[in-house]
Amino acid sequence: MNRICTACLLVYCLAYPTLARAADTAPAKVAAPAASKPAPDDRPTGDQKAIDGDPALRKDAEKAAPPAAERATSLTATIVVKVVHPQEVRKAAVERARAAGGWPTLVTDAELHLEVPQAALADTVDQLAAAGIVLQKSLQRVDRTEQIAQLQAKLKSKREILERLRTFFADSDTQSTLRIEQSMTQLVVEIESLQGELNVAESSARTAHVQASFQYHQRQRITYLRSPFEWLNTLDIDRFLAEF
Amino acid sequence: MRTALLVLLALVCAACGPKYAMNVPAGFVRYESKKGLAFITADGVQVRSRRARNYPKADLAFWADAMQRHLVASGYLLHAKNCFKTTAGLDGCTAEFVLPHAGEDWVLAETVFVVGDDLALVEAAGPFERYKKVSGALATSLLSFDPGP
Repeated sequence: MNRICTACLLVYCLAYPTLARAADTAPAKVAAPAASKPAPDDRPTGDQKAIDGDPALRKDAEKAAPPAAERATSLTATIVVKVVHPQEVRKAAVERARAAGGWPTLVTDAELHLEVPQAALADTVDQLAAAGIVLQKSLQRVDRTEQIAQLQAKLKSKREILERLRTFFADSDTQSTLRIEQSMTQLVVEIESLQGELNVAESSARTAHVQASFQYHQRQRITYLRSPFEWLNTLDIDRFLAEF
Repeated sequence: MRTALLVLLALVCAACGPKYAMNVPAGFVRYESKKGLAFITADGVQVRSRRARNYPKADLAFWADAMQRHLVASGYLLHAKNCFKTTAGLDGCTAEFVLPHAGEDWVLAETVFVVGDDLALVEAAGPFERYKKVSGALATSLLSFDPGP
């Protein structure tokens, strides 16, 4: 019996990379987790909550889970606004963002970048626009739903593989234990990396990014273009100033 | 002899070009010595007029569109556009463009009037903040533009 178990274990360990790859490419097809035994104490190191998934956080997430039709979208608003007193406008915008639960990520003389809750995005942009003359305004939406779903599925399948690997410790010999530990360590690294990516994707879907510029510098200089209409070729700031 | 004198006078008058007239915008002073209209504010916002040939002959909408396309393609940012009628009933269009110049944001405002075979241009330029302070006065003054005889 012991020989059979050891043989099964070796086959599983050798086949693990293939299984992991299959889980990465087809997360939806991963089978239900095998019946799990109590985990041994000598587990690989790492952030255990990240590896196993914090049950409390998971419960909260399930409660706050959006309806199926709702998409996880990251929003980036870009605005170029000319104001007479940029310092005052910048200060007021940072205060308003903080009051709404946001924070500044870049503050310079000519630029202001803010992270704000998505619900506060419209107000933040409107208030910046009202402070001066808007030269440019744009809103970029990136749908993160698929990315988040893929990351969650990958994470789930890797955690399930980890759980299954733990069950093999009880009956394995020294060499097999070393192999299992090696596989688990690799798996933990992958889980932590995936959890990080997922955190970033979820965070970007919760907050909106506002990039405000107080100076127009889309192009650093004017390019000379030849027009078929003669007088249009004489429209030029340098000519105007030189001939004044 | 008399005919020759009249012809000479006519040629001299033609060479003088049109005499544009316009109220001096509030905050500006006029250069009396310069050819055509020329105004300037204390902080350096400049306005002046000039004439261009309406060739190929087209209407105001055509030229306003062509000007906008040309300047935007050259890197200017269209900030505002306003088409209006002067008190004398002449149609005009003003387009304000923002551009980076000498490390600052500047405005180049071009106003076009179609006067027969000619285009009357009133151009204004200045740093953004300074220009915006006087842009209202300039717009008001443009309503009084008269291309002359």
